[in-house]
Amino acid sequence: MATSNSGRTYVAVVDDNENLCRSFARLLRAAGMHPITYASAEALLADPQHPRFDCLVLDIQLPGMSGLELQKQLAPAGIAAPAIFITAHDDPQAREQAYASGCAGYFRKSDSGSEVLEAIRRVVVPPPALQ
Amino acid sequence: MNWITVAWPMVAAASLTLGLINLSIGVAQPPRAARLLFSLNAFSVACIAGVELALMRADSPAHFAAILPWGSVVSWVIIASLAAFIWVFFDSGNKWLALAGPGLFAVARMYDFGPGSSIHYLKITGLRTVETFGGATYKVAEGVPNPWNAISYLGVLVLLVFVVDASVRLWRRGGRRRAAVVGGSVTFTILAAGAHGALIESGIVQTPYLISWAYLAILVAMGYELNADVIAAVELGRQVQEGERRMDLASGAAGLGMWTWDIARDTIWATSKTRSLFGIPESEGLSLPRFMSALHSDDRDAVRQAIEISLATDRDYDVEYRVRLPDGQIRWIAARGRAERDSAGNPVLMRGVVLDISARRRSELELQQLQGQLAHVGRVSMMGQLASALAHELSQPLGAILRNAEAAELFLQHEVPDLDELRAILADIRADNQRAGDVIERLRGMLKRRSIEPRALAVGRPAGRGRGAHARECGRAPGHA
Repeated sequence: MATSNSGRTYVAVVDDNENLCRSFARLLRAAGMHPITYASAEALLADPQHPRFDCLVLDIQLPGMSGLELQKQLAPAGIAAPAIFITAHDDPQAREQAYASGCAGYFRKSDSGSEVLEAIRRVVVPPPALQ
Repeated sequence: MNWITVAWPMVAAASLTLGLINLSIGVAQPPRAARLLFSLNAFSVACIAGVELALMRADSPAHFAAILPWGSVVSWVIIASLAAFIWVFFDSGNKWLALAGPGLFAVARMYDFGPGSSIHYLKITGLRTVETFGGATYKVAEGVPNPWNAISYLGVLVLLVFVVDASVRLWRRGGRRRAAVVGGSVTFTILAAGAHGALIESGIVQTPYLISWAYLAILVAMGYELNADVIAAVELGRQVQEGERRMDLASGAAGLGMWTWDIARDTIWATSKTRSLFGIPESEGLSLPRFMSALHSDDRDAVRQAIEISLATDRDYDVEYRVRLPDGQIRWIAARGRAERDSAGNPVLMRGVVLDISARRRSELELQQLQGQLAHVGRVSMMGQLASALAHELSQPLGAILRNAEAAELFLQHEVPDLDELRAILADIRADNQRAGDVIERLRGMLKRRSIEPRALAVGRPAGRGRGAHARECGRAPGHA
């Protein structure tokens, strides 16, 4: 496993808003993780040399393929990491779809970044028995 | 039994009857002057029949002489009214001839009113009893004729000329029937009565005066003329009724009700369609107050005002109002009308139409309600759009500021804080704060510029953020791997 080999936690951040992308990547770095940012779902799927992700933080409203659609495409693309959704527009329908997809978290963009960090830690930190 | 005492009153009665008929028609409708003059003429003939009868039954020369001036007065009224009647009825003839005939006659007959004198006889020597067929007897005078009486007959002659001249003029102008019938009979009467009177008074013949009998020709002629008028009036009435029926049918088919308001008498004539639109039965009389009472109370003032304006100015009467039907239902009516004026410009009557516009009004009302609902829906959806746009536009810079601040806190906890990173964070926070401020400023500008309209607005992205720049920024990230 990438994490066990390098001891690094790789987190994909997909958001078309570059300021959010950059600020969230900083937060992840400050928390000791390794963020990799993409401006669209297509950019992530087209990246040939991405590491093995431990977690994906996906914006729901994206140009082209949506975050929810991207999550469905992860398994076919050979990515098995859990997804956390972030949205600027919190509408009930999107939230329902996100939870139905079995996501690891659902947050608004205005929510505190530490909450998102905690959600990431919950999914990437392996249970003590396995360490 | 003396048949003379029956025959003369019969002629008098016939004349009276004709006079009364013309009087009653003349009082009611034009041509008034002609009919009233003619009835005066006929009444005078009835009088002359009485005078003739009295002369025939006179019991002494003095008695006979006393009656003669009455005959003069009545004869003059006959001549004067006949001249005036022809003048008015034919609307033609020479004015001076019309005045000269009765004038000359009057001058001559003045003589009767001098002391102890008569225009007919210088002296009446006696009365003679004459027996005629049927054993009837009557009196005639014997005496010396007055030569000045020729002036009376000159007057009658002038009248004759006037009548013939007026008849010829009327004939040429196209009034042939009237010229022939009335002009002819009047001419005949004057000729017969005048000539016969002259023969009696000059002593050539000894018969009763037959002025009233000669007048029977005029009686018949005027009866014929009157009949023709009545027949024409009946025919005209039938045509008018037929026309009215046709108009009623056509207007009814078009849904139009017609009405005419006689302003002075305050009566409203209305077609059956109009009455049914207002729920007023055919049998009920219509007036302005009755019409007003059929209207919805809120619309009465407006209608009254529209009528007043139309009467006071040249503007058409054009209003829409509600009628409250007897069953309580409301009907919308559109009314148009125009005042008609007399020669002095005073409104005499108002004519117009009414149309049921309830259906149009209903759909207008429905449309208005739908528009109201649409506007409401539009407002609601616009507010929703605005709120979500605001959330979207503001949550991104605010979220970025929050994450940057949190990242800074974590960096500061490192043993050796990365100062370059902290500077970059602060610069980004400043830029995002500026961006959020811009969003609010744009929104304020948009709301100030125009009232809220139900229109989908594209959510604008801050300018100067090219896709290339973004890709570069994000594309750098995989390098951390």
